[in-house]
Amino acid sequence: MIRAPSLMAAVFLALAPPVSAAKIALVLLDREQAGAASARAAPGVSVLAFDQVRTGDPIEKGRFLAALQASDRVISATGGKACGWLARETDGVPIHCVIPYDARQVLDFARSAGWKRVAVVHMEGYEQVFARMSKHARARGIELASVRVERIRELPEAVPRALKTAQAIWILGDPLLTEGPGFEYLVEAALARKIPLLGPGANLVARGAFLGADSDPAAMVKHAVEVANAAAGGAEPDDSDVETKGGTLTFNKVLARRWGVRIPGEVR
Amino acid sequence: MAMRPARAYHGTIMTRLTRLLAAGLLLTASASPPASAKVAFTGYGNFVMPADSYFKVRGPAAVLGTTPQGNLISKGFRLDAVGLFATTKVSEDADFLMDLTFRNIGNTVGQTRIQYAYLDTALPWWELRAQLGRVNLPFNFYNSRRFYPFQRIEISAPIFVNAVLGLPIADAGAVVSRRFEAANGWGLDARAYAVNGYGSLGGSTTTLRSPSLPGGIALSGNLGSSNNNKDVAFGGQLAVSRAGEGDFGVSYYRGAWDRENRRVLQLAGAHMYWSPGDFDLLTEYLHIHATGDEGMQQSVRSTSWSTHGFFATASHPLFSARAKEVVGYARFENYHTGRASGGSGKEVLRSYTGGLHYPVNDAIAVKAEGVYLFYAIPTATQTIIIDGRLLQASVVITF
Repeated sequence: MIRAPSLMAAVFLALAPPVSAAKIALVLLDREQAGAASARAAPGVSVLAFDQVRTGDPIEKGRFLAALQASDRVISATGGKACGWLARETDGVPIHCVIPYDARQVLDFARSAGWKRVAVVHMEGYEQVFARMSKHARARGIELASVRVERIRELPEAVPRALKTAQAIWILGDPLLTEGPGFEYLVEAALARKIPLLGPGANLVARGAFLGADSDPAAMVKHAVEVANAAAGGAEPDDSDVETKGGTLTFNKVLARRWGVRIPGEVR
Repeated sequence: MAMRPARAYHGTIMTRLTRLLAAGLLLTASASPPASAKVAFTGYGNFVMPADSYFKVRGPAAVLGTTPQGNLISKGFRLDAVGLFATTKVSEDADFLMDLTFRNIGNTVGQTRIQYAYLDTALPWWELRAQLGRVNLPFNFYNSRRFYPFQRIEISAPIFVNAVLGLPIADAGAVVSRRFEAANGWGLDARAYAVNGYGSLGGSTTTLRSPSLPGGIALSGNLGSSNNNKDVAFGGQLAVSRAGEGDFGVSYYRGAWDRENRRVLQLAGAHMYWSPGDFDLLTEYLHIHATGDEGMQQSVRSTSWSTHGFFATASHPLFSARAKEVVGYARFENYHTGRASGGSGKEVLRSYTGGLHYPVNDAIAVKAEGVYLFYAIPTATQTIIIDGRLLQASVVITF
């Protein structure tokens, strides 16, 4: 009984933590990705798996958020939905979401299809991503028109106006636009006007989109680890760091045939 | 006179412990980088609506106390609990966690509890982890992983372990644990703990439980803010588990509950949680053995008594509504308490529960439930019997 307090004090003494230059939380989608990333992560990078957190359990959620809040920066390669959750739930920690597809691939296809003007629908907060995409588009002779909404109920007013002059409509990525009534409205508006709808994820094609863009998950994780390791060394991620390179475009062949849009042979 | 030296000794040790614990926490806090000061607050609310409650209560007025006798019929609304969880990282691999729960909420709050408050840290030896502070005891499965309404699909917890044993079993002390990983995500979790432990019923030094309502039959009030004797209670758990698939284990607790360290309470448990696909089954066995309890003597004709019993809860999705699964569940529990050597005079608790659970989204769940309860405990003159049914609905909100 007398020895117990001494042991307790020794335990606390042994807890002195190693302090790194920058603490980076790297959030990946699942445990498998996190396991692969942990082996390559630099000191100071904590790798967390999003699928290990039941977001409806405040105890688990609290521990996860405490780990994020204790970081200097969060690098997320989880896709739009999880990244949106991270942005909503954390406070005061810079979050860098790796875009889960290569926008340049989409723009290369748009150029090959002869499109000159594409309406880009995005939620508030995607302005920097839109600016980056616009730069890539201009380099390919394409004009991107921003359709920025704060709530999905603004879509019926904003989208028809933009579609009067656009040859395609592109969802940058946000669960409010890629799921539920937001997506249902966009796909109906696009199909009614025979305008191709482009967006993140092959699953959108099965639900009526013309094109779905996906990343190569292994390449995206590798890229995210590199960005996190550099950030742990003190480098601040810039816009190009959150872009994914390479991936797959999935086309809706039925719509392509009906609308007479040629699908490049090198993609499916 | 025999108690005075024990109290004085206990007081000295507790003072030293408190000082060293405070010094230790200060040391940990000072070793932490400034970013660690950020605290994540989350929480929940559980709103319960008993739609139809009908219970027959019979027993001698002397032991029923303020509990009314006869047929009790009620309906209404009740904010069962609101809890706030505060979590912060105090070092690279150490968190401090706290739960502040409010219960019996009206214009004022009837009960404010710090359900747990502990430092959870990795230790530098043998991949051990430690929890220090007011910790949840790793006893069976329900206590630490199904206690909160957002962790379980049922509205009510199993009645015996919740109302008599008292959930959650949380006490001041320490838990040391280690997981031994095996193949395919399975592993063995070994946990050992030392806590102050259960003491005697308030106002008595020789009663652990007594057949009186309300409160006397429960052990839940016997966990105090400090130890009531010079020894700590200890125990442990061994469990084989794989996340989301299954958890099978045995648990043990032993501690003296009186000031002279002569009267002992032992708990033994076994649990099986199995979740193949959408099916989910949890069953827990509980054995309690207490010695020297004069409070239960009139009920079981002995100061040495034991409880045997179990509950089993099964659930499975029944159908989908608006792309969410409606899960149906059923639970049965059966507990008997009698003198340790056997014989007449038994406390009996049986209940049958069934219901539905519907997750509206990540943050809101709606539940509906029906419960049938039969409870009987003999007293010196007459048996207390509570027999009835309850239909209720609830909404659980997390944030």
